[in-house]
Amino acid sequence: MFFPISDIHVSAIALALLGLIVGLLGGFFGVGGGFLAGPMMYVLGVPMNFVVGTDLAHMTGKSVVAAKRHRTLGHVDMKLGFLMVMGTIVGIELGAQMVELLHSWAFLDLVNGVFYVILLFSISLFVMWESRKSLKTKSSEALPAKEAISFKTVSRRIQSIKIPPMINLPESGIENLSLWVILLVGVVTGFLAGLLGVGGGFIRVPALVYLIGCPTHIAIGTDLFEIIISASYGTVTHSLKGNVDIMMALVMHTGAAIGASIGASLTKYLTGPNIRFYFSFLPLIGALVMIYALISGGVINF
Amino acid sequence: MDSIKELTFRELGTELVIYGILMFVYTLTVLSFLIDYVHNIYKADLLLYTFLALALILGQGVLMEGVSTYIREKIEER
Repeated sequence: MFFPISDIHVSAIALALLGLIVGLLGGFFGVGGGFLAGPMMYVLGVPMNFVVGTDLAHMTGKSVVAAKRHRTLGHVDMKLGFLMVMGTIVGIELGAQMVELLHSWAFLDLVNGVFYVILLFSISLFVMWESRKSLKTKSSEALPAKEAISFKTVSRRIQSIKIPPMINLPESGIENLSLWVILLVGVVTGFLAGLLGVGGGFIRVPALVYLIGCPTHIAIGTDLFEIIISASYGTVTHSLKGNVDIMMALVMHTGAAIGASIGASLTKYLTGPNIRFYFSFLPLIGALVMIYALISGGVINF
Repeated sequence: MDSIKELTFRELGTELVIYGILMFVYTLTVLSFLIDYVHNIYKADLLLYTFLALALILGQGVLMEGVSTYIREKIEER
């Protein structure tokens, strides 16, 4: 199929299949999937300047499907999502500004790449350790909790910070949480996402679980809801620069929609610790892609 | 694998096939029809193109979710 906006021929079936895979991951884990879709689009021949913007556009549509399905399952905390996205957008802008400031620095890509790999490895190993511990606790002590978490110390401490205004989040089972904490977590995760040039789902979902104290299913649904807003914002900024091929995004989205819908439905069959255990492999894949880019001397921006 | 999950996977497979056929037809007709029109707007006015792009992807998101929910409900009814 010919896409005149980006001026290339790409197989529509390949794009829809890529969308299906990324959609499944997104619906199941609550991530945008840019770490996989970006490099794969590049491999399919999409020009680099269109990769990021087009991926963000398809992510917007995919998140609508996945978040709506999660909402049907009762997995979206709209209040938390709306509040956190304000911090996230500020953080993304700050991260992007930081990249601009450091742009002249010769080692920026290398340092950014190494930091990215360390961060992803740390998240992956921590989530893997914690979820395995939760799974063992669950099986040995027969905890009824669907959302067993072995690492609640940080979220308990964070929830005990009493700086007004205090917010009640009944859908997440959180009675009182300072608004400033939600905004700060949004700014920090957004900053990392902006600095590293990623959507940030695999930073935000663990942050919602371990820092805010959200149940895993709610964290996934709420993150997807947040992605609708942040990816829409990203689509607008990239599109104004002429870097979005919306027809390509629409074709990708035909596959992504069904993937996201199936992925979201599958979450109801697994417990929180199980989902977190499978989730822990995702940052590892992102880290390996980045290591490959660093070794091969290429820079993958996604 | 228990019977509930077995049934669900069969349903998901059926949903995937029906949805795949619908999307193939949709891509060939609606998207192919739109492509030149959208390209002309892209060349003429980036601001208008941006709003159109956002409306199209959000609209398609809502539409696809509706279609997949409808297909799933019909399969589950049988």
